[in-house]
Amino acid sequence: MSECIVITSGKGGVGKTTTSANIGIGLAMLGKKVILIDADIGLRNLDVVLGLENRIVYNLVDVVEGNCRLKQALIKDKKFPELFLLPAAQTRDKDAVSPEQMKELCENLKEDFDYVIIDCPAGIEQGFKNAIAGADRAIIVTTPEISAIRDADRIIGLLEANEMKDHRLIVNRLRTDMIKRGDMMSVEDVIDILAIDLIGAIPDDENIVISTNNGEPIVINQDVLSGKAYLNICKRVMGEDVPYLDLNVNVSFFKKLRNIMGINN
Amino acid sequence: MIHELTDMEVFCIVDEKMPIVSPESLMAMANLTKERAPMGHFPKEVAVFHQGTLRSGQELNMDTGIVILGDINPGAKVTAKGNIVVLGSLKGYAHAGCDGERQACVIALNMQPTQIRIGDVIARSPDKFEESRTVAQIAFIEDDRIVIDHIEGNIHKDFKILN
Repeated sequence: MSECIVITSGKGGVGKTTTSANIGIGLAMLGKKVILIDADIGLRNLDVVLGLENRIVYNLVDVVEGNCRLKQALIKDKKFPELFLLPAAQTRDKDAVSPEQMKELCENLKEDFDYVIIDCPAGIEQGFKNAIAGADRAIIVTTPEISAIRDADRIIGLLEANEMKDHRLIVNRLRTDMIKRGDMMSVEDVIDILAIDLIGAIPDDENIVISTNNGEPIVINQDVLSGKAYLNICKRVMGEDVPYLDLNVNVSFFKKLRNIMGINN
Repeated sequence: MIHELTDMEVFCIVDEKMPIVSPESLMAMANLTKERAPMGHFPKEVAVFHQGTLRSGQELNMDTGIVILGDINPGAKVTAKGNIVVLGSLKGYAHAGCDGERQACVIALNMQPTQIRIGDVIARSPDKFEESRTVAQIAFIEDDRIVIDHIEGNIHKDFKILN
């Protein structure tokens, strides 16, 4: 019943790694046994975001090349004993691993874990091909910008060409104030263009930057909207039907009152 | 010339024929390849200089000791059979005595490593560093564990390090 999910986007900097870390931790918070794989060989970040960089002894390339056993390379999370990380190598490049090897690795890990989450590198080259090789389904991260959406569209095409039919969308960095002014695409606009199912929307939140820099992903903090949004995504990953959050909480009381009274500013 | 720059009394200038580093090994160092520089005939007590900061993903492997005039950034890796001296900040990985030599040491002007390995012993950094220290520190093995100490006063006399 275990699943292998790849987090991908095409474009860089839209929040793949942050999303991977939050979904990994969120699923662990919900009691699942999770392994996060950093497939971004040469530009690894997932270990830093999780605050586990100083624990790395072996990495994905060592496992694939047989320098160590798989279990030796897995790093247990500081807070969640059911969450593990398989870090990427930093001094190698994407060609160090082949799609066949990744597929075998994912199959092995699926025996021991409920969820295998793969953090895909940006781009559509070798690293992308490796990352999607072993995945059963994909989560595509995009921001409401035309460049990111264009790249996401390309990625969806490539996933379909690789016969991966189950893919869902996360729209990241939404700013409700800009959407209201008509300066930013809304979630509905993005879905209209990409024509795939949504799995969650994340508001643009400075708390995400702060918590990421501290090595403690935002999903741990359930007092903020973005943390709640990530946990809801995790529940939807597990197949629960969770209603979408209203992202309009930053609106002041006065503005709300005006909205109710039907006065537009 | 030297008199102009220093208060020290110059009584002798040593001009020994030092072993000259081969062009291949210089190339290897300049490119920072993962290939081991062809210096197997140099003992590990000898040290080689490297000028420049090692950035994330760069790796420097030496069969000798090494002195780095620059920083080791997070994600960079230095491996040496002898001692490692960093005249800058050590924030990445350092592995001294990588052939199992437990007498090797790691010295840095600003010691904030991700991980230090000496011989077959591994130590990782605490999860939070206090504010940046600017005291030179030395890491060595004591009772099968890596300890880090300030380099002050006559403390160096007590170290049993590779030399």
